[in-house]
Amino acid sequence: MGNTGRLLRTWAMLMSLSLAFAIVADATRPTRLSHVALLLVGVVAVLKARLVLADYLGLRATPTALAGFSTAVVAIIALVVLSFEFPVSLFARQ
Amino acid sequence: MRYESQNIAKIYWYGALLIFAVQVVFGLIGGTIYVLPNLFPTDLLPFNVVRMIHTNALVVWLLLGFFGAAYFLIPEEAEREIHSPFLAYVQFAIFFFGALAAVAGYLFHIYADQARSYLEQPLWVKLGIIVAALIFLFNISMTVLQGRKTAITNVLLLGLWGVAIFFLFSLYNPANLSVDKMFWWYVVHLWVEGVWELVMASILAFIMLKMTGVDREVIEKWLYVIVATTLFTGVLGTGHHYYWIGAPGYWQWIGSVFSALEVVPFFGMVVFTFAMVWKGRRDHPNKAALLWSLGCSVLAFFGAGVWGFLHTLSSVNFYTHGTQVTAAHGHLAFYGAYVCVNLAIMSYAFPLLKNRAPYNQVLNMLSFWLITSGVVFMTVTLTFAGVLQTHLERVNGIPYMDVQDQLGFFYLLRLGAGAVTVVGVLLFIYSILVPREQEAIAPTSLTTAPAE
Amino acid sequence: MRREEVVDISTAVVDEDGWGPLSGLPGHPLMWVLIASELAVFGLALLGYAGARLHDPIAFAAAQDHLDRLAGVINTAVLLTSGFFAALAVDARARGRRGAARLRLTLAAALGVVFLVVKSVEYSRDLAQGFDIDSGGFFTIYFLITGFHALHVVLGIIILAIVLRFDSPGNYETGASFWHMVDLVWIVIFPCLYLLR
Repeated sequence: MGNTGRLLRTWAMLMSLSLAFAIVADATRPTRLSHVALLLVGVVAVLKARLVLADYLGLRATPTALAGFSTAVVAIIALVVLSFEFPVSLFARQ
Repeated sequence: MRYESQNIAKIYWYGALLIFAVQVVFGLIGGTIYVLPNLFPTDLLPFNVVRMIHTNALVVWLLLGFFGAAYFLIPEEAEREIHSPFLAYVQFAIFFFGALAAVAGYLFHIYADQARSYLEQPLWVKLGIIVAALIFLFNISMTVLQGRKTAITNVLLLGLWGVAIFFLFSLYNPANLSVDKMFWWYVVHLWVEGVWELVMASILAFIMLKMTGVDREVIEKWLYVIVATTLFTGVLGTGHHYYWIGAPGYWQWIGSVFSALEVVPFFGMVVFTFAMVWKGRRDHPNKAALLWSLGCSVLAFFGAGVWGFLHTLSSVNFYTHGTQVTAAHGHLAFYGAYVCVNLAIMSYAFPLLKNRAPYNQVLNMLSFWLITSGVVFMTVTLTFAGVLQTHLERVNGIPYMDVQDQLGFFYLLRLGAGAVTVVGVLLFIYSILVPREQEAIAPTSLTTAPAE
Repeated sequence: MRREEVVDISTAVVDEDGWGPLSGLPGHPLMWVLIASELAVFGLALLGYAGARLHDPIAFAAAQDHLDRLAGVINTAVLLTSGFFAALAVDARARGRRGAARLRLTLAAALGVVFLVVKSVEYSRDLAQGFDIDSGGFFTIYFLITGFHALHVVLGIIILAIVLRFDSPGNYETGASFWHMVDLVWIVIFPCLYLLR
């Protein structure tokens, strides 16, 4: 039953993080996010991805693979979050 | 050599080497026309015909080389003789006659004038190619089905069946130019960035298996990973040809993302060949074949992978499309991936087919360095020409021919590189075909080496 | 003779099944090649999205406001719960409880269908507002990325159905790995496309 217990815990954490997501990103209202909110959205996404990698995909047993996939996810999310720090075009001549 | 019918490969490779020589000579003529447009009478030898022979001969001899490779390695892998050697020779006769007739026809301006590069053959030649392909597929499939099935033969068969199936699209030529191009790429792209890669990977795997002595199990796993990534990236990578031909705009995203990853299988092949040689317990005496194999994966990685990536993103290709950047990529990619793999298997197999110890290795390896230097220099030259052309023509808006006038110096350099390449090719053919009593430079005997 | 000995030492480096570092991962090793490839494709697409947005952030933000974020949050919960059932199914199958495993995997696939229903409601609203894959800018990328993901949900459901038919423990692991990859991709693309702004 240990495995089922852990999976249940993982699922509960994923669901609460998703709820946190909704609140942080203020899912229902179309406003620009603050720097802190952008960062939090990124962190929550990384945490969720890591839980899926470790427990759903079972990479907890292979730390190297877990580290590799996590790094890739972190890099992608970090770059996208960073890009949202710029509210105006970086390319168009003003 | 363990099976009599492996000798079939010889006739295919003789034919391939002959057409290889024709191909590079016409390349040299084409390169000369770039520099001296009026040297050859344009009504006798117009540039479009020279170009057509250069590109068609390339494809034909590479295919002959693949057929030869299949006839050489399938008996060893399947552990039985080829189903029907007679059919194999009939197939050669049809294919080779069709190829020669097409080339001769081009010289007399007989070709399917549909503005479809590589597919200029008249209809009857296309049908001949299909008949030859059917004979071939029947012959090798029967051999494999009745014999031992290995990952190498499975992948080779998958690749060769794909070659034949995708060629069928050459028969369909829709009136709408955009649709025409989409179908044209089903042949051209799905060949060189799809099924040909499978053929290449399986030939490399066979050479690695024979030369390094690494376990078949390990080599098969590598092969599976390379095949999986090739198909995953290559099929939707077709999108990078749909950017500006009238196809919907979303192809710019699909093509960019998937074709950017087409470098992965080529990188995989570099790691594969080097890892196998590194791990290998066997010190195989045929150094020339090893050089061609390692050179193949590395040059394919740069030519197809890196030079392909250079202009595959739609935002870059918007400017570089159809410039000399494309020509640079085309030359190194075809050479690295498909010329080298053919020359590698020939270098490995000919000493066995002729029942001699590895011979003329020194000349063979010299030819590797000559051809490689020639093609790499050509590639770099054309890349500079292409960058300049992109800027002058696409950014500054100077007319096409005015820009061409300014690229003359690069075309002169390219001609020089081409001449070196032709010398290298002739040297390779000589080293393969002409017997020799001993190596030009005797190999150092290992047993007499002083202890460290 | 001496050289022979030296060469022999290197032969010690031969792994038993030939899969090398892939052999320790759950399910068929080639599934992991696919998973890595898929992550690379979606990752590149997201980086392309970030780059394209920097050309015109204002138009992207305006287009993005038309998305139904609540539907996205609901779908996140649906997929994560589906993944939970898939993981439970693998666990049950590993203990030999075939019936329980089937039930759980069926639930996982059913939730995949729910995801698709929610997604198609969203798509029909987008289309009704006049946005489609040819709209350019944000919506072309949005339809490509989410559409490609939705195709993977469809493929995943098919794979789960195949696993239900050929229900070896190994197939359970392989099929569930694909399904979790679809989960993982959604977790990464959802915040990037819907929430960040």
